[in-house]
Amino acid sequence: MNIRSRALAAARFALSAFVIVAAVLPLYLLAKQSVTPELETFAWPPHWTPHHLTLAHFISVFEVNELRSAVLRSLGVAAVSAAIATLLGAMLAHAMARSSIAQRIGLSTVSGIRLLPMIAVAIPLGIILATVGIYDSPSGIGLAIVHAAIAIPTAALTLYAAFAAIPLEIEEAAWIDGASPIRIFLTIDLPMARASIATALILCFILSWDEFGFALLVQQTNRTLPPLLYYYTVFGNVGPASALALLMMIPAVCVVVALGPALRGTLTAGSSR
Amino acid sequence: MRLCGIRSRFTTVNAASKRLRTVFVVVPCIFMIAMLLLPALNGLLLSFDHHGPSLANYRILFDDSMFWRALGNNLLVPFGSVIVEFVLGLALALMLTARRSRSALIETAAILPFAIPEIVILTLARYIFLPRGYLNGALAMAGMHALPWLSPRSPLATFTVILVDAWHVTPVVMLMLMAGLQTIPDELYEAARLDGAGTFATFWFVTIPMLMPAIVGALILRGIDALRIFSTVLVLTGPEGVPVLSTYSYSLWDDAQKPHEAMAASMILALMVTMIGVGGLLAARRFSRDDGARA
Amino acid sequence: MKAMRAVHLLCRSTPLLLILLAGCQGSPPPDQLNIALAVFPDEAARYGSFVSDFESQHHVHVKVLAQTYSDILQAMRVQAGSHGALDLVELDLATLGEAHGYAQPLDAVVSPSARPLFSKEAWDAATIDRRLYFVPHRLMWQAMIYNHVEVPNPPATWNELERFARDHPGKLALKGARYEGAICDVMPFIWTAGGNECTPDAPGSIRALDFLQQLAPNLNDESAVFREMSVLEAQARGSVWIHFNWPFAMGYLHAKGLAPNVNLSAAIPAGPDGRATALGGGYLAIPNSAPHPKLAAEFIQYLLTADTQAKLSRELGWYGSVPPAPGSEDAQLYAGYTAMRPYVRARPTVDCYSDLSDQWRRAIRAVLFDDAVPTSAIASNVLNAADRCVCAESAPGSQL
Repeated sequence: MNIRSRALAAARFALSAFVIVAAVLPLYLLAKQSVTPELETFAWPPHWTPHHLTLAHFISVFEVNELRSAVLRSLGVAAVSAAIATLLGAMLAHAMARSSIAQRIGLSTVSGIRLLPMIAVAIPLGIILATVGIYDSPSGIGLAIVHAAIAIPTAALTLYAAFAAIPLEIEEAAWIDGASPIRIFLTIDLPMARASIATALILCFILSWDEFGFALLVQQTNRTLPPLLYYYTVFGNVGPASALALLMMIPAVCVVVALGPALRGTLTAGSSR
Repeated sequence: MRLCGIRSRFTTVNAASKRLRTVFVVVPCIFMIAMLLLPALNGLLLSFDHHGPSLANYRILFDDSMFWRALGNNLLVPFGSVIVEFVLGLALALMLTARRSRSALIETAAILPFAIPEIVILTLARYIFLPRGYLNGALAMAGMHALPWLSPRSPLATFTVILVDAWHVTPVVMLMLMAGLQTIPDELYEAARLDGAGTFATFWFVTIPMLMPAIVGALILRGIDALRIFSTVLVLTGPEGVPVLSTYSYSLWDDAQKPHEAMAASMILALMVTMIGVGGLLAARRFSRDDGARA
Repeated sequence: MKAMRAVHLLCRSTPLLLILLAGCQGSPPPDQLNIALAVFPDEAARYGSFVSDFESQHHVHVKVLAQTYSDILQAMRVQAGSHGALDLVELDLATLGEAHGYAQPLDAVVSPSARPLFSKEAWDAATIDRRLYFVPHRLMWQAMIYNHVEVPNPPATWNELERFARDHPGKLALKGARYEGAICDVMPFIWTAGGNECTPDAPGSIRALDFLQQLAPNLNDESAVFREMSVLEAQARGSVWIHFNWPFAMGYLHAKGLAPNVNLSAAIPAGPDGRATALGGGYLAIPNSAPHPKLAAEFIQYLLTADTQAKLSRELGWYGSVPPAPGSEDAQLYAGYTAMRPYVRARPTVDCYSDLSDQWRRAIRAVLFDDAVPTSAIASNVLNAADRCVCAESAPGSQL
């Protein structure tokens, strides 16, 4: 018994160590690459600590036109798609929380949509967007609309619990007082679900910020950050790629660390592959 | 399928609120269908277009040995990835749920791979697994031989891809299983302890059966997602290294400039995902019905 | 309250704003010329300053968009059906055949005095059905990039190359991914054995593929996935000591501090029939859907003068028309390219080239990576495509 519990404790320790090292070491390496000259990064055997420091890579992120516009574009697309997805998701979630038919329809649609691979949608979608004239637009509006569509399931499932938890009596009281259903939704349901709405907005924002597949295929030349990072990496620009990767992490990490507990139960909802 | 734990409720039946609910269901669903399903259907039609309606695009695919490699890998890699995710995720979930070793540091470190954008993880992984990357550098320091982690001729590349793909997603599985673990009542563990069951017996006869619904649910969700692997292989090995259907389709579109063949390949992927997804859902429903009957 | 104060401020400043706006009405906004080039972002910035003369002369703003060739071709294709946003696009030589349908004829734009700036071969590649659709913009060809610290005497013939590969397994790399770059690496071998892409079963073609099969076991493992930039990064890291690439490779290595101190360029090893290298690079086109076609034509005329070409070579290091000044650092860096200048050969610019090329890529990969026998690899892949495709062969060895 003693040996077994000690073996378990050792296994737990090994697992913890592995998790911490696996999380921290790669980030350290990326940070090191972003502040050392590329000549050093190309050295063999690799340097584990920086020998020279340089800010040139971070400066290039802010000075190069393409990078600046990609950052703005990513922000814009993420914000717009999060807003649209949260609004539509709130509508769907409210209906699903109030009617079993709506629940069935909503779940079937969401499940069905989940089965679609990105590549099967993105290639024909690009052709359609081009016909409408918003393919590869500088503002990224086409991508924002696509991101909104793939984020609705996340928003809806996040908000479902909040709406289902609103007591019917409050809604009925307002109804008796003469409020129309839409007024009840806007003035009672939405404010009561404030916290979940914020969570949904943030989750949808992160989903769009991180999304790679549609961004690669729909915004071919006016890029957002994930495809831009991809091109920088495969084009051998190690320094700027590392700096860009670090900067890309900031919003996502802050949010996830801050939201920790709220994420459980809602992480299952979103996927953008 | 019902959303677990919360029963739906009905409002007072009246025409106005029914109208609103209809609008609230129809608008988002139409939006999703129009933006996602309709283009896919259009792609399906175009995949049968080769200077006129024909099956030629599919025949061209079947003639290509790389297509068959992509098809095989598209089953192998997700399968391996799901296994790694679940083993690791379950281990982490068990460790973090045990009250003694609860630690904010470990929890954050465990969630971190999911917090970081996937493309950043892939960039990192590339610099680690390059022939002259950090991992081979560490091996060289320890006096060992460098390994061909991402070499297209080596089976090791498939393993590396599985590992990296799983690593990003393990936190999600961990959280799902943690949620499931927390629903297991303490009394069951007490009863098992009183019956003299050891740690492993408790795990096998109490934890796993009670965790089954969560495991099955997570398996279906993660399995479907894993089948659609794209960016992992694209960044780590390129379309020719460890080909999967999505990168194969992408390279037909981008390198070969053959959109109709690309759509044919993507339709085969969609078919595979649908078949496995629907099959999984049906199996899960049958499983939960059996369980219900037993109870 | 804060809101009230804000409203007051706005009301008081509005007349001032209106006056300022009215004043600005005077000068009309300059026209904008949108050019999509296959350059790196920092090159785009340099190109932007290079065209500042044109900008001030014509009172326009030239916006340079840095993209990849395939992205540009896709953009051109999708914009052909709708309204266009690009006035000038740079297209890869290999895609001229299929892209000419989306481009405007330029016979009227290019004056006879501009013709001598580039070789007849370069202009021939841009002429389809006896009309000129493209103008050479950034002509490039490949040379051998080698690590002169590890390889002080680079191989000069096929035999020496084979011996190098045997003595240093994994240090010679080819761009073997399933894309056009594989053709650019391998076709010169076919050409220097007397074969060509239109007659895949000629003895010269088979002989070249036999030679490649000899090289295959000693090539760098990653050749099956290498593209221009990934093999270049491997060269920078020292995993690869010899590979073939375009002039921007030397620019990249120079920028990272690895050339000329570690890497240099040399001529591609000579085969039984002499030397050859693939012509490539960008040609400019005015899309049919261009919003400012007249302005685009003026820009082309501005580019096609001896002065501008000399300036281009000085400021951007593009030596397609004017070679680097002897004795300069660039002359040292691009020595291999200067050496290969007389041996440049274009791939056929025909409509069906992409089909032919696709089959060649499969044949090449089958030989290099799947141990296929050259004759059967050719037969199963390329013969049908070559029969269907009426090739216009280009003459070898034109002077540039």
